[in-house]
Amino acid sequence: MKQGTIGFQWQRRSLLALSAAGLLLAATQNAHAVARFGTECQADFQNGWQTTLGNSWKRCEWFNNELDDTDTKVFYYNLNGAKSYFETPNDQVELDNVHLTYVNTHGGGWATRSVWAMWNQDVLADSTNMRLGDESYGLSILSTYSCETLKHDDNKMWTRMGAIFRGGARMSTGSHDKVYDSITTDEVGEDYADNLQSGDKIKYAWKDANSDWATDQDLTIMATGTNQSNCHSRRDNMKWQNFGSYARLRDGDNGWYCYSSWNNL
Amino acid sequence: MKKFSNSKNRLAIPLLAALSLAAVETAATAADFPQRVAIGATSAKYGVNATAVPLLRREPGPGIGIMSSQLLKEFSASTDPVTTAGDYKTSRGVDKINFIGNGWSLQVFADGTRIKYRNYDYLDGANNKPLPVASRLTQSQLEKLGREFIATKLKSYVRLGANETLVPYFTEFQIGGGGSTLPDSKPAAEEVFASTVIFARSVGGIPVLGAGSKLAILFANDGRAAGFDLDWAAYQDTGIAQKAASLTEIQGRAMKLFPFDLRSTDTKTTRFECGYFDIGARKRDVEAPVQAGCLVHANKRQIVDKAVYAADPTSGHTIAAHMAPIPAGATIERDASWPQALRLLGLSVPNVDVPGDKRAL
Repeated sequence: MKQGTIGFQWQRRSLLALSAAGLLLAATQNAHAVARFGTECQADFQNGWQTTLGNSWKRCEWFNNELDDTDTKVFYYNLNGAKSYFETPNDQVELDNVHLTYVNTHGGGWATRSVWAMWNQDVLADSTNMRLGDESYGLSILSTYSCETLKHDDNKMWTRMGAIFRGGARMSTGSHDKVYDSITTDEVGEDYADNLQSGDKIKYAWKDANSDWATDQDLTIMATGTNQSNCHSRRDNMKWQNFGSYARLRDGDNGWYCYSSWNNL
Repeated sequence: MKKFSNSKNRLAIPLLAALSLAAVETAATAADFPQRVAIGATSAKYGVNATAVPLLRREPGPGIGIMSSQLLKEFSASTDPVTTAGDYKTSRGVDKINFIGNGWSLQVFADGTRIKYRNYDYLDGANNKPLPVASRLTQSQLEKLGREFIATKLKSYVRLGANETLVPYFTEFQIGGGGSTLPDSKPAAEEVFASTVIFARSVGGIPVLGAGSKLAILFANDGRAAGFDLDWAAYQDTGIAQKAASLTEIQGRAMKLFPFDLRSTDTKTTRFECGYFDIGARKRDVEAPVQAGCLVHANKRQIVDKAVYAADPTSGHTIAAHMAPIPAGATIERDASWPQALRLLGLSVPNVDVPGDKRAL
């Protein structure tokens, strides 16, 4: 990274930090006026190091086109050089600079972390380097159309995703196994945005948007709470219109994690 | 109308051994009905499983206005969870209309042949007690409940032609789980909150694949329907026959059209199902017939960190999952909504992509 860029980022970070408390307060109290969102997507990858996602741009652009009817699109970036903007060094510039980030790339659920493929060869964003919700506007909802990143069948979901929620992020939506790239799933971003706008609970907004009954979609959403019942309440009632009314839970405030998942048992 | 004969033994099984497409692995999940398992097995052996299929015309629906009025009226007096009783708000999109009532929502799409209804308030209400996974509704119970709901509540919207049948396809369950964030905690036992049964349609014994000809009924744990999806148009035989491509030809097309190598050792083909392909009301090319196609689900588990993988084979990877509808007619009809068909026909596929912006690095 260029020196000048570092300087700019730190200067910007300082300015943002000065106003962070006020912004967070405003965002929390104003449960939902006009929210901010961003999109991080990739279709092709450097030197073909990952399989092309032929419908990624449609998925993301149509998400943007729908949601910006009611809310503010802050960015729509590709994933070239995106790792530091997902992770702690620069997340205040992108993921934490909005209330919701929608991501489309390849993912993986490892024993100790979830990973998202960047455009750059061999570069992965790593969930254990991500602490979201504690800077700038503070991310509330991380929605990733990626495989496996919300895997939960090995009792390691919290190991993988805990770092993200310790920053105060409120919900994550994704997949515990596979979500498919296909012409039958190119509209799922648009439908997700539409469902959010309609006032659906986030869990159902995600589920209904990504199901077409032609494709084997494995969908999961995740939330946290101070305890089990608090977690269930947050998981089951949070909406795009009310997420700000749910307290941010940071670090040890997160006593419980919970998920809803749609499975072919 | 011409007659078409099934030819289950048209392709010799030993030929499969010579085919280069990777074996279909774990094609059937426990949630698949036997009818779907049979579709997969037959497709793997014979492809379309007919020497030819009649091209179908998907008849236009009544339009979203007429259809939504009919639904709102029909369910307005219902005291079941599937109800449109009470006041509601209406909003219109480009190809859809939304109604949001007290706890329920209804969406009607395109020409009125695609419908989504939900009563999530009922599903999330106090009356819907979570169940242990082992106590969930069984597949046979769900099939029975689904058929009853279709026959009694959706009979005006789900009509079957003389040579058409309803095919139980698969089931899906909404599961809840979680656990303490304290180290070494055991997870709470998972519970079931809802169950969905999905039906497809067969025409002349040929299953219809894709979003079209699908019915999904969502049930609460008490067995009451709380939602449904349908994409259900009437089909008419065009009187034109489409000769089916051979299994070898179809598999060759799949290899050509897939974004990754289906023969690779890190790739699994999890489904290979052949029949008609109907992409559904929202996306279809109204000028195109419904023609033969095979849906191929495959995923590639790519090792991206060899050191991590060496230490723990459950780690160090990314997953790419792709589903492609592969044209399965010996000759292919033009269909603007089907990029794979256009590519095989040598036609250009319009590029409407708007890539993400480059960030200043």
